This record gives sequence, structure tokens and C-alpha cells, in this order.
Amino acid sequence: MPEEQNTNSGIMVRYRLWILAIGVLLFLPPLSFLFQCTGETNFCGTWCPRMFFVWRQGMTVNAFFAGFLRSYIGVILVFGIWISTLFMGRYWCSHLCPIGGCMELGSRLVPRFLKINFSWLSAPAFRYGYLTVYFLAAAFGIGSLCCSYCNFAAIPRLMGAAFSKADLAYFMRTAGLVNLGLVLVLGFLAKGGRAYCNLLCPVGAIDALFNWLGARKWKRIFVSQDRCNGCGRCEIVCPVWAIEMGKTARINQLSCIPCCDCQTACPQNALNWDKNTNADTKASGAYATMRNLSPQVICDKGRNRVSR
Amino acid sequence: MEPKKIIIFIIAVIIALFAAHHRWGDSSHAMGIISVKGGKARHPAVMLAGRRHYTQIVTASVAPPYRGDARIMLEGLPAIHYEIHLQGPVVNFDLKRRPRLEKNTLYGLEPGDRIALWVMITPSKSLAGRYTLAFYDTATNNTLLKIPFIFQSKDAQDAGRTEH
Repeated sequence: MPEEQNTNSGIMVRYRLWILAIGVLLFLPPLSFLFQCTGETNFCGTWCPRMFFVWRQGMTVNAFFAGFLRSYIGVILVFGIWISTLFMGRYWCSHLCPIGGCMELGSRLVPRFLKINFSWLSAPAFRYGYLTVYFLAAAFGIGSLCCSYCNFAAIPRLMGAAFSKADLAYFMRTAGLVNLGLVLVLGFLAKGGRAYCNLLCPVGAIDALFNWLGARKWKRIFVSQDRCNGCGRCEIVCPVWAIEMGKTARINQLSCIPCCDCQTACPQNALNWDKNTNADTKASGAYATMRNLSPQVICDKGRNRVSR
Repeated sequence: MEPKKIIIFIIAVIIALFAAHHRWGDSSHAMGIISVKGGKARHPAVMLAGRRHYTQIVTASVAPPYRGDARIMLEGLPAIHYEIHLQGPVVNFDLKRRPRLEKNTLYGLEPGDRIALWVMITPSKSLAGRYTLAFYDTATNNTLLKIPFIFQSKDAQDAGRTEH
């Protein structure tokens, strides 16, 4: 078996955490630089990425599209994320999102014995149950999950609370404390720091659908079944518990983000960033493998990869 | 589909339905338009009576042609202790002009401005009834916006409603 490790892109893998940290610095307090460029201070308002695509009971068509105008930067951002994900994978989630990035980076500072492992929970099932209510509860007037439970509101306020009374005020109410609890338990204290992203982020949930759709034609992380020896190291390091172990590993493209931690951990070079040319994948639904490709074919396809 | 996944899906739906339906009652979001014609509140802020602390979010945009400074007061009896904080950047790079808040007065409002205020209310005794968050032009004392704050009993339907 080859000893070298494959990566989809040296910079994007080696410096992923630094890229996340830059995203956090640019978006979140105390600097909030990108927001200030547009006259805002956080994701609420023109940057809101969560609310414009929800139809609320009694809403007219004009009011629905007025929401697009009100949050026009959020609209551009979200559609940009979804379209880029279709072709390139979920780089927003893995490398750029300041919300998920903040929780993941924060979780790395938490001692291992304090971390909660949520991998027993089927993330797609929970996520799409939540997303279903996210849309239907608003449409039928039951209530709303948009602002009441918002990671894009809670994390910037958490970062700014030490400096600003307005940010602190967000947590001086029951809903704020509930949000704080959610980002602490599902973010900072979660193993991998991505449980909130994986379970409760509506932008990420729709993004995951685009990832799954794009996996049929464009590059994603796939497992070479011929190489995988089922050691399970990839499953342990995956922050979004997208890998399921049988005799060999299987990647669920409804959860996978291209963090490439699995590639780095794999001693067999069995995980590769490539197009999935295997017809079996369509039959196997969300799970993707490269079963029919020989190791040599995979090496040839990935010859421009950086070796470690 | 595996039965375990179906069960998890149903559990997620139940939890999310409860979360969407439940209102905490000590905060809500009020929206309005500041204008020379007296302004317009999109809906009143409705909260549950009897809490020891309330945090109300108020967002408003400034309709043309108004420009000036606006004094903000929470009116009603008995008088209650409240603080108002304006959402703003921690480190201000001054890339865009923005209004500032000093001693409950907004300075430098201009057409198109959008403000986000946090009104923290700490009543000394159980609070019930109707109050009004009023915005007055400091130069003319004309009303720019009035947003009703309603503290109502537990059986009321709309307490804590955010409208989104």
C-alpha cells in the first residue's frame, strides 16, 4: 500500500483552520470588518441568510420578495454558497463560515473529556425533520424558528458580549440563554464542534442537498473500497460524523464537508477528492464510494495532488 | 429507510414544533418606521406580565425626509427602570456614517438609516398593562414613532411573538 497521503489541495487542507480563523476575524466582533463595510454590525438585517426564503402565513408575494430586497446581501451570500457547493463542494461550511468556524475552533480549546459525542444520532434524519418544521411552522402560522433559534445571531453576540452591552442584552432573556445553551452544547462542547451545523443550521441543510446533488457529477471526497481496510480512523476524526463504517468506510454526502480530516488520517490513501465515476453510487443513495476504480486509476486521476 | 432514522426524524419534528410554537414571554421583536408624520409601528411588542426582567428588540428605519436627533422614552405608569442600548460595532472603523446613542437620545438620524435597539426593562414589582416606547424629535418635540409595549397575562396568545 502506498505510504503517502493524498490531499485535494495542499493549501485548503493544511491551512483550513487558519482560513477559518481569518473568516472569524473578518466577520465577527470585535472587528466585524465585512459587516462594517456595508454599514451593518452583524448578520441581522441586510446580511440575514436564514429568513428570506421562508414563507410566512398571510404573506403576500410582494412581501415575500421584499424580504429578498431587505436581506439582499444575505440572498447573494446564500445563493452563492449553494451554487458553489453544487460544483465545488461545501467549502463555505468547511473553510469560510464564521459561525461554524467559531464553534469548531472553540471546541478545539475544550478538553477532550468534556466533549459530547453526537455521532450516535443520524444527522440527516434530525436535520431534515428540523428543516421541515422550519418551513412548515412559519407557513401554517404555528410559530417560527427563524430568529428565535439562530446561530447567525447568537455567535456574533457571544463574541461581542464582553465588549458591548447591546450584544450582552441578547443573552439577558430566556431565548438568548437557550441559544447560548445550544451553541455551547452543540458547538463548543461537541466532538468536532460541528453538531449545531450538522443538526440545526437551515442554510447548511439546504447546502447539503446541493452537495449531494453535485456528488453525482462533480468532485467530492470518495472512498476507494479497494484500498480501505476498515480501520475506522476516518470515522473517528470526522467532525460531522459523515462516515459510516462497515467492512469499509462509506461517506454520506448529505453530511460531508470537505475538511479532509479523513484524508489526512487515512493510512491507506483510501479517501480521495475526485469525481465519482462509479454507477453504483446512484443506487446507493447518499453514500458514495469508488468501488469500481482500481487504486492505479485513482492515483492517475489524482496525480496533481500534493503528497505528504 | 431505516426505522431508527424515521424515529429520529419524527423526534426532530416534535422538538422543532414545540420550539417554534413556544414563546418565552420575556422578549419580543418590534419593528417600526421613524417619520415626521408620527411614524408607524408594524405591530405592538407583547410580553407576559409578571416577569422580573424583559429584553425587547426594536428595529426601525428612518423614512425621508426626516433627519435630526430623537429622544427615546418608555412611557407609562408606574414608571419603570429601563436601559436602551444601540447595536453597533465594537471596534468602529468609521467606514459608514451611523447614528449614535447617548443618554437615550439618538443623534444624527438620516433618511434610510436603520437602527437596532435593545430595551432592557427591570420592573421593581410585577409589571402588567400597556407602555409605549416613544421617539420624539429633540428640536420640535414632535412624535416620530410610538411602539406599544403590552405586558399581558399568561392566557394571552401573542406574548413573546416575534412575527418571524
